[in-house]
Amino acid sequence: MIIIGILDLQGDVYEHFQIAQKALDNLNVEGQVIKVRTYEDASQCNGIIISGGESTVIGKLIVENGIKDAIIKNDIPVFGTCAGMVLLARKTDYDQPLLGLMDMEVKRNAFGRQKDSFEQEIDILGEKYSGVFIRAPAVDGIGDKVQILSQIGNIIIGVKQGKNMAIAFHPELTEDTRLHEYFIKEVL
Amino acid sequence: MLHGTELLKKGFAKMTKGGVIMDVVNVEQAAIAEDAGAVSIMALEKVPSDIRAAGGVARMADPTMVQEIIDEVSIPVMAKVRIGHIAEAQILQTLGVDMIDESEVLTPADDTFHIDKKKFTIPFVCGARNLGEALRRMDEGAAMIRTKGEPGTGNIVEAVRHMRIIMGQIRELQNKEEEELWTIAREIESPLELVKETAKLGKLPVVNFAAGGVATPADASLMMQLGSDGVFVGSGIFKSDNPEEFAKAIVEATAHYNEPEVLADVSRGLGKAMHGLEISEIADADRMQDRGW
Repeated sequence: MIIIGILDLQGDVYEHFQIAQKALDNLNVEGQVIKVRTYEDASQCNGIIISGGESTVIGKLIVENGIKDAIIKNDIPVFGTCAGMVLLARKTDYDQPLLGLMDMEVKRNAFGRQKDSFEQEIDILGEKYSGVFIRAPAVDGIGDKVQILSQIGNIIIGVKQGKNMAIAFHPELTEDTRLHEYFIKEVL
Repeated sequence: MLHGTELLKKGFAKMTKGGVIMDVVNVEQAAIAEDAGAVSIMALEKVPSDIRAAGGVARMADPTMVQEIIDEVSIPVMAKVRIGHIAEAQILQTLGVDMIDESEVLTPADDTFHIDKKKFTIPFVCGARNLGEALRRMDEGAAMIRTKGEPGTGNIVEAVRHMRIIMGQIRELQNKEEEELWTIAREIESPLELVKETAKLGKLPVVNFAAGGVATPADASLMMQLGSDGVFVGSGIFKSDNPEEFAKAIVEATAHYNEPEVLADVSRGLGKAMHGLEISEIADADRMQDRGW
């Protein structure tokens, strides 16, 4: 029995919940998707997904209510999309609370403001995905242990370190379950 | 590479869910709002209660001020345009504003038509008092809806009324047969396709926030419990005794809206909320919610 938690404080939580549920069904894995709002919720998860949203807001809330401590203490793998990628970073270009689980620096709003937000087909581990980038971040430097999953030109937009994964775009907005399935298989 | 698609516009709005969007009138307030945990800020010349007090014509904010705020904060910046004012919207889009509020808080520029929001690259949010109004705005391209409430009053009663009406109308749709939806679409003057989609989803097809009268953490929680995806706070923060503390408390109350212990905790010792206004004391001509068609 596997428990996948969706951090439920701010952002497109509902969309991730739906996709994670579908991913579990597709994999035919016995498990449950739960919403994570407290230290106790977080502590029972085998893996946690952090949605898109504002990283400044989510970061502040996970520090204040102890979810950050629960993740670090129990060594829970995290899959972060967009704001989630920012929170997984060790450092960003802005002074804000982070989880810092991955040895990378992230630049926020790396592609510009909302008018520059874009859709583009991208490649991850040899497969095509429709990438939805909304005021998206990008990875701006990685340590030795970080593996690159995807790039646009020479800009890194997907990375993995151990069981932690971070991507700059939003698979939850395109009904695509493949990356959620990948993460669930990692934490099984 | 595609820009300005429906998915990107509605997606942007989805990223604000569970958050608080705060009205600010200068760079200092913008910094306070960001530090307090605002998910986005709304740049405008005067907060609604001051617009109400000042009278005259209320317009889009000065581009210099909007630009300073854009340069100051890392979170998204929204700004308001007058209903139907295409040129103000073009100016804000050019400045790099992330979302435009076509707002009844400002003096309407067009008393018949709203902006064709599909022509813009950046998304719009619009106010609504009922489901028909919400779906008409979506048909014009709005990527996000908010209740109108009665802005600048610090009185939550109108926002509650509007949210209850919208949610009640959606619940009614869910009980209808498909052929009955045609008649409803005509009755509420909305496109059939959007009526059908709403009936199927059991919620608005775009993000739906509360606005117009939120003044305390408890108000924010109330609106979330009625089904809002998040809240706009206009005058409620910077017209209170203690803006930093009110801003932080409203952020916490919105994220933890269903946890009374947290609400009790963050509501303690805040000092005085903004001075409120009883709705019946407002002359009909001064009711902002009646602007928009």
